[in-house]
Amino acid sequence: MVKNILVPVDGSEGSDRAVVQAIAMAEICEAKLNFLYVANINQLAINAFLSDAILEAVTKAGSVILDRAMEMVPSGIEKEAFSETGSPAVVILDFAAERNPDLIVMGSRGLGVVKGVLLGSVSQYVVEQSKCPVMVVK
Amino acid sequence: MREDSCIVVPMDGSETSILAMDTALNLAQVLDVKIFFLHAAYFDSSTDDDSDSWLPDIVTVSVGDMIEDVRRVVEERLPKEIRAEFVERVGDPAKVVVDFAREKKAGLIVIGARGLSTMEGFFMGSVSQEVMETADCAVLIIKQQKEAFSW
Ligand SMILES: Nc1ncnc2c1ncn2[C@@H]1O[C@H](COP(=O)(O)OP(=O)(O)O)[C@@H](O)[C@H]1O
Ligand SMILES: [Mg+2]
Repeated sequence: MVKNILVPVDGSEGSDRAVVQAIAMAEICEAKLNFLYVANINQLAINAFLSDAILEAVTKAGSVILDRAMEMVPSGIEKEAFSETGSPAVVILDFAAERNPDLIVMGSRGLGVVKGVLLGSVSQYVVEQSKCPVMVVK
Repeated sequence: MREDSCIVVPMDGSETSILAMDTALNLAQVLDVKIFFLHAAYFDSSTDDDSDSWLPDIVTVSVGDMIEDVRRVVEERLPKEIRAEFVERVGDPAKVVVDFAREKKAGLIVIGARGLSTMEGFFMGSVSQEVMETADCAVLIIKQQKEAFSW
C-alpha cells in the first residue's frame, strides 16, 4: 500500500501542481505527505559568499515554500515538512533511500529557465535513479 | 483525477509494462476510472512483405497478437468492477501514446521506465522518456521492482 508519499517542492508552479496531485493521491490512499525542500547551497556558494545573512535568507525562503505546501493540505491528511541543503537531485534521492517512500510526486518543470527543455534536470535525475515509482506532474 | 477521466497504460509485453499494468489496475480500482491498455506497433504486418521479411519477428508479430496477449493477461487479473479497453494503434509508440492520452483526456499515463529494448547504459527507455517529456497529463513511471505497488 502507498503509505508515504515524498513531494519535493521548490515553490514553482510545476511543484504546486505536484502538491495538488499528491494531495489527491494521499486522500485516496490515506497516505502521509512528506514535503522536502532542498536549498541549493552549492549553487549559491558560487554566486556569493555564504554570509549568515544569506544563509538566513535561504532558510527563510525554504520555510515559506514548505509552509505554503503544508497549508494546501486539507485537515485529516498526515503531513510533515523537511528542509535540507545540498544538490537538490542528490539530496532528494538520499532522502528517499533513507525513508523509503512508496511514491515520489514531483513537477516536470521547476524554477529553472532553460528553454527548449521539456523536463527539468532535477526531475530527470530523480526519475532515472529512484528505486520507487515517480509521478511526474505536468 | 476526475471521475470522467481515465488512465492509459502503454503495453509492450515487457516485465515493467506488466508491473505498470498491475499498478494501474490497483489505482483504477480506488479511483473508479476506466483504463485503456494501449499497444503501439511500429508497423502494420500488411506493410511487411511476407516472402522477404526484413523486419524482426518482435516487430511484425506484435500487430494484433500483442494486444490479444495483453488482454489475456489483464483479464485474468481484472477485478470485475474495473472498466478496461484494449486498443492497438500503428505508429511511433511515444507519439501514439501521447496522442491517445490527449484524445481520451486521460488524467494519468502509467508506464514502465524500461521496455523491451535493452540498450545498456540508459536508465530510461526511449519511449518512456519521450512520453514523460511530451505528455499533457501526469506520467507515473514504474521502475523494475519485485512487485507492483498497490494503493
Ligand atoms: N531545490 C529543490 N528542492 C526540492 N524539490 C525540487 C527542487 N528543485 C526542483 N525540485 C522538484 O523537481 C521538479 C522539477 O524541477 P527541476 O527539475 O529543477 O526543473 P527546472 O529545470 O525547470 O527547474 C519541481 O517541480 C520540484 O518538484
Ligand atoms: Mg530547478
